[in-house]
Order: sequence, then C-alpha cells, then structure tokens
Amino acid sequence: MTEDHSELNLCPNCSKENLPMATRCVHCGSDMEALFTIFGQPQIPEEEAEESLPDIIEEIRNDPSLQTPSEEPPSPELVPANRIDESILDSEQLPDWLAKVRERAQGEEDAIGDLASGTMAMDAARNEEASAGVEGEFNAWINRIREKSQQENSVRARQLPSENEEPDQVPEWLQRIRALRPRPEEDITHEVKTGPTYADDLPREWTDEALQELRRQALSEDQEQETEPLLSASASTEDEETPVEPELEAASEPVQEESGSIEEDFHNIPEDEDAYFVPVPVEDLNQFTEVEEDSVVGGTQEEPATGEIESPEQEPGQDTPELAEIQTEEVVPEEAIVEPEASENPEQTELESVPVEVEDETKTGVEEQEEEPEEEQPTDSAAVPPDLLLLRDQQDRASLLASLIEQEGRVTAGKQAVRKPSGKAGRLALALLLLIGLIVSMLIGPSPMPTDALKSMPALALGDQIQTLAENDKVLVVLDYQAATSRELEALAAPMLDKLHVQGVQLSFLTTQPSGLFLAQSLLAQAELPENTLVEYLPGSYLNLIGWAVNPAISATGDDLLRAKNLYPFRLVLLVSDSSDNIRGWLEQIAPWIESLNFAAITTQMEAPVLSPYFDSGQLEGYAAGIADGNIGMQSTFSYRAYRVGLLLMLVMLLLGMISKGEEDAIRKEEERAE
Amino acid sequence: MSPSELFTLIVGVALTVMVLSYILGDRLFFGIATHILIGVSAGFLALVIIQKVILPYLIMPLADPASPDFLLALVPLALSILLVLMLFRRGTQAGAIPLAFLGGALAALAIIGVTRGTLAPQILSMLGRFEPSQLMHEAQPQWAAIIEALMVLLGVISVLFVFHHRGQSKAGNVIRPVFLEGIGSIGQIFIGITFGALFVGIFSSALIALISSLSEIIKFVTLWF
Repeated sequence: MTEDHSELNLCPNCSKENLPMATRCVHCGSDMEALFTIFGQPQIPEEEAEESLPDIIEEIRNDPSLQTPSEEPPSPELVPANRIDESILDSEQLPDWLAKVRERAQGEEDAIGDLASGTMAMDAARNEEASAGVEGEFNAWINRIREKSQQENSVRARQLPSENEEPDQVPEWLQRIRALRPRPEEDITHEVKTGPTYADDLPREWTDEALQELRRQALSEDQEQETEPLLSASASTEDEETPVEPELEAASEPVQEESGSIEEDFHNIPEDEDAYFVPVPVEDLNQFTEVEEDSVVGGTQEEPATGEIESPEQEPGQDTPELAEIQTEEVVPEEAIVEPEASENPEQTELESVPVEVEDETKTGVEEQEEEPEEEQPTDSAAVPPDLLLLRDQQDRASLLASLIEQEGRVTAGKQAVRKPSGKAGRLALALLLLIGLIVSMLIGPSPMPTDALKSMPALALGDQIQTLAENDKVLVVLDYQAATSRELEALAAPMLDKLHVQGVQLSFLTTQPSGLFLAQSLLAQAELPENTLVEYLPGSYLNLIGWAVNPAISATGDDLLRAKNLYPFRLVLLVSDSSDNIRGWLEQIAPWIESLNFAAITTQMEAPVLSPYFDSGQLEGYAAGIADGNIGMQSTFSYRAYRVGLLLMLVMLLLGMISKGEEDAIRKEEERAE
Repeated sequence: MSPSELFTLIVGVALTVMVLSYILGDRLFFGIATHILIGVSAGFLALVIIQKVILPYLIMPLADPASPDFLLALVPLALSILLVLMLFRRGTQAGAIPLAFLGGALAALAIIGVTRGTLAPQILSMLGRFEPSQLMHEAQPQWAAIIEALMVLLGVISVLFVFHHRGQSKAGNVIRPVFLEGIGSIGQIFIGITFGALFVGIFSSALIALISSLSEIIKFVTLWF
C-alpha cells in the first residue's frame, strides 16, 4: 500500500495532495469525485462516474440473489451454490468494477489458491461421503429447527407491534439483556478484518477505508434519493428492511462475500479457521476473491451479522432494541437466500428468522449430529426470543443466581458442619454397663469356680511333667511379668511352686524385670515358700544366659549366682511370663544349645495361642494359661460369676458392634453410590 | 489389718479409681496416675540397674586391677563412654560404634535363633504329622489325625500365601493369579481365627485384672461399713 500512496491526487480547489482513493479533499472538503480512480479499471467520463455509484446501489438492490425470500418464489430443491454463482456472474447488471475483479480472478490459473482449493476439495469429498447417510437425519433435524423457528416467529409477531408502538416502555431488564446480548457475529467480523483480505496485486483502492468511504457516499446519495422510504422505515415491520438494507448491502460487498465464504467454508471447522487466519500467500489471495464471489450465498448470510455489530458502534445514538429487532428481521431474507432448498413450503420461510448463530449450529450439527447429540442443545435456544439469547457463561451465572435465590433462607444439609460422633458417650455407656454388671455380680456373693472344670492339654502335660520331677531335681523359675498380669500369673504359678516345693525340688528364681523383685515376694508368699528365697535379677533376659548355655564355666559374679551359674544341672526351666516373645526367645536362644533341658511355661490367656505351635512341636513340655488351668477360680477373692458376666457382656457388645458397623458401612456405601 | 497394709490399700484404691476415671474422659487424674507409675518405675529401675548391673559388672572389677575381670570390664567401660558421647554433637559418630555392635549382635542372634528355634522345629513338626505312625493305628486310618494334619498344612500354606505379594503390577495395584487369591483368602480366615483367639485372651486377662481390682475396692469399702 505504501507505493500506491506515492500517487497522490491534487485537489482541484486547493491544489493540495490527497490520497488516490479520497473522494473529498481532506484540506478543503471539496468534492474529488472526478479524480477518484480505480486501479485496473479504465477511466470513465465524469458523468458516467457520477452515475456509477447509484447504479451500483440500484443494481445490488435489484440483484435477484439478494432479494428477500418473499419476493422470490420458494425453491423446493436445493440450488447448488455454483448455479447461484453462475447466475450472478452472468448477470449483466453487475458493476463494472466487480466484473473486472472477477474477470481478472478467472484469468489467473491459480486464482483459487491452494488453501481455498484444498478446502473446496475437502468440502466436496465430505459432501459426497455424508450425502448418503446424513441426508435423512439432516432433513429431520432441519424440520425440528423450522418448527422452533416458527414458534419463535409467532412469539415475535406478538411482541413486535407492542415494541414498535411503545419502544420506550421496554423493561429495563430487557434492555440490559439486550445490551449484554451475545454477538457471535462480532467475532466473525473481526476475523474478516484481521484476515488478509487483499493481496498486493489487487486494486489498492479497495481497502477498508475506501470501502467505508464508498459506503458513506452511497448512503448519502441514497438518502437524498430515497428519503421517503427512510422516513417510513419505522412505520411497518416490512419496511424496516428498507433503511437498513441499503446500509448493509452497501457495506462493502467484498467484505460481506468474504465473511460469507468464511461462514460457509470454514466457520464450523475450528482448525480450518485457524489455518485460514494464518497469513496466506499473495497468489492465493488473488484467487480468494473469486471464491468469495462464488460464495455469494454465504456473503449474504453474513450481512445481518455485520450490520448488527457495526451499526451500534458507528451510530451509538440509534435505538438499540429497535435495531435489534430490525436486524433480526433482516436475517429472514438473507438466510432464505442462503438455503432456499430448505424452504419446502411457504411456511418454512419463517425458518429464516432463526438467528445467525442458530444457523451456524445447524451447520455444525449436520456434521456432528451422529457424534454428539448434545451439540443440538443450542438449537433449543431458538425457541427463545433472540433478544434473550445469552452466552453460556451468562446462563450459568444466571442459573447459579437462581439456585442461590431458591436456597436462600433454607438450611441445606450439604452446608451443615458434619459432626462426627466422638464416641465418648457410647464408650462411657458401655464402660458403666460393664462396671455395674461386674460389681453387682460380685456383691451377690462368692462364686467359686467349679472343681470339675476341665484343663487344657498343655496344662495336663505340664502337670505330668511336674509329676516326673524327683527330689533334689533342680528347676529354674524365671519370673518375667508385669504387675498388671501378676494376679493371673500368680494364681497359676503359686499352686505349682507349692507342689514342687512339697516334692523336694530345688528351686532357683530369676527375674528379667526389675519389678519382678518385689512381685516375686507376693508369689513366694502365695506359694508358701521360705521368705529368704533368693530372687536374682537377670539383666538382658535370656541373652545374658547364652554364655551360660554355650560355656557354663563362665560366670561373671561367681558365688552370687552359684545356684544358677550354668544351665546344665537344671532339668526344667519354668517360664512365668506374660509375654510370648520372651518365652519364644528362651526357646530360640537357649533351648537349641542344651537338648537335655526341658521348658515349660505359665502365661496369660492372651499369649496361649502363640505358644500352641511350640507345644505341638515338643519344644514346650507344657504350659498353663488362663483361669481354667489354674486355681484362680478357687480363690475366695475372685468371683467366677463376675468373670462369666463380663464375658457375656463383652459378647453382647461385640455383636452390637458388628451389627452397627455393618449398618454404618451399608449407609456409607449407599451415600457413596448416591454421590 | 496393719497400718501399712491399710495405707497400701488406700493408695491402691485411689490409683485404681484415678485410672478408671479415664472412662469418664478425665485426663487429669489418669495422667497423674500414669506419671506416678512412670516415675516410680524409672526410679526403681535406676536403683536396680545401679545395684545389680553397674556395681557388680563394671565398678567392682575395675576396682581390683589384679583380678582377671579387670580387662574384661574395660570393654564395657569403653563402649559405655562411647555411648555417653552421643550426648554431644561431635560424639555422635563415636556413639554409633556400641550401637552398631549391639545391633549386629542382636541381629545375628535373632537370625540364628529363629532358624534353629522356630523354623526348623515347626517345619519338622508339621511334617511329623504325616508320618504313618501318626496317621495309622493298627492298620486303621486315624481320620482325626489325618484331617488335623491336612488342616495344619492348609493353614501354613494359605497363611504364607497371604503374605505373598508377587504379581503383575497394573496401575499401582498388584494383580495376582486367581488361585493365589483364593489360597490367600483361606489364609486370611486362619489369621482371623488367630486374632479372634488373641482378642479373647486379651479381654480375659484384662477382665481378670479388673475383677481383682474391683475386689480390692469392694474389700476396702466393706471395711467401713
């Protein structure tokens, strides 16, 4: 464009330089129509040039392809775009500049361009593939849209008179919605503007500025010649097209054709859009004009979109609701031209009132109907008046606001702080129940354990082992328990120690726990052993005795551990322990070294199952565990009834816990399933 | 009842009630009782260790250099000094020496002990259940012994497969063959039975201890009425 600016025209009035496309002097404002030239077009006489612009307007207005559908007979069959293009190309009423442009575009071999030709080839292939299977679905889908558009037209027909009569009484909320109404066409217009519309070798004067200037001039002249239609434009709905139509039609036909071609060929294919807006080579752009002209249908379809967007911006003082209605009405004839094949009967001409975005959805839906039926959802908005069309995010916000208003004042379950039960009350209730049950059972009176209670096999084996001991046999008693289990273990161990003492067995006591030093005193007292019985502390437990087992001659303290300086003299090691790990440690660390040494254990009920395999393997000669194997049930201080009551309560608690846990899990699963 | 016994009984009842107050959600008296238990146990343990370990095994041999235990006592003395150095930042590495010695010795003992004291005897015991002398008696099959042996074998194998986690890893989850999953499920049944027995034992032991304590409290209360 810079080189064209070097050719400046001199104003005949002030003799100052002006741009070649300027029709009026920018300095003095005088008319420069005589100097207005078009590159590539021969100069015409001044009279003919003055007549050319009105002629152009008149020709465009009389162009059959741009007439409203009401003026055209409805065509039942789909008219190929090529036929329309040919009819337009063959029209002798085309302006000279347009004919020149088309002639030049046709004269060049690569006028179409690789991009456009590829797109056309792709569209042709797509049409061939989809024509067979999609045609039926397309027709059905189009029929649904037509029905919706009919409903919309009927609704609008009832609304328009009132709006025209009293435009100022439009509700404020409707005006705001109209002001915020989505204009997807605006994006299309921007896309057209940003696209490489003209190549360098095209006539430079057909830039946007030149076209705008041409449009303004055409409007001014048209207003002078057709004042009456303009004044009567708002009188009736049908005449609303008149003032806007020349404005729209004169609004740069090449631009309209471009947008139309884009809308038809590329709009529904985002990838193609992106590729389209990539700067196109110059030679392809030369041919693009021909494609634009061939797609006059699309160009005419885009006209209302351009008019809708640009009119409010360029003429802010214009009444917006009225213009919106007028623009909506203008869509009718344009889209009737776009798809005349769709109007199979006169009633279907109302389909053309469907907004432009709905038509876009129509095209998109044809291609993607089988893939995503949900894409048809926007077509449902066709039943809504176009003034109330909202963007999707606006609809989402509106629905959110509606839901908030609906929930206002309510206390929803989801927003309540979920307070999980701490379980303190339940634990307290269970504990109190257990305590009360035990206390009551003990207060009733003493309840000794039955004397005929059967002992376990390990306990019987332990008894037999003790019976085999003779007088002066050495038995090592290892005390390895805490105070918490002392009552249970003492009740088990005391009768056995007493029996061993009666048999004349020599007992040696070791304790691996510091607390065993004073706990042993209680045990010795219950076993009626002498008070001077020595109980030695063995630090390190059985690990300290490994040396004794490997080499019994080693003794660290000499005489102090004379009775237990080595383990070989002992026949039995009686482990009184509340830990199965310690018992297992003795069996693992000491027993393998001395095969002649026997081991037995007195342990608690909870450790008995762990010791069972060692009894089965013969590593333990026997063991006594629990209340059944000892004489604790025989003691007067122990209530066997309370023990049974406690077991019964625990059994009930376990059952209740299992039931409640199962119910809780079921509820949770149900909630998760519901979510 | 002697005054000392009465005092002991009162203290015992008070501590028992303080511990039982934890059921009501009280932490103060339960904490006091717990701290008393820990403090008394720690003090008593320290006295026992000094009296029963440090003096006879370390101090007394070192006090007599002529005795043969003198040189042996130097080894624990050196290790103890190195262990004390761990209290200081620069002596941390030196303190790791006795810990490493202790850890290595215990690990070696554990491996040897488990192998000789548990694995081998248990495997032999399981195999011994299938000896003909165990399964047959006077040319008649002992079905009880046979079923018991089979159950023991099944329990051992299935429990081992519970802890067998080899398999194809898909999306972070290890997918095992179907038969392994089935055997593992059977093993879980055995493990569940074992845990149930342990729980009953724990509750039984705790119940015996509780009944004993309640008996002491009731005995104490009946003294005054």
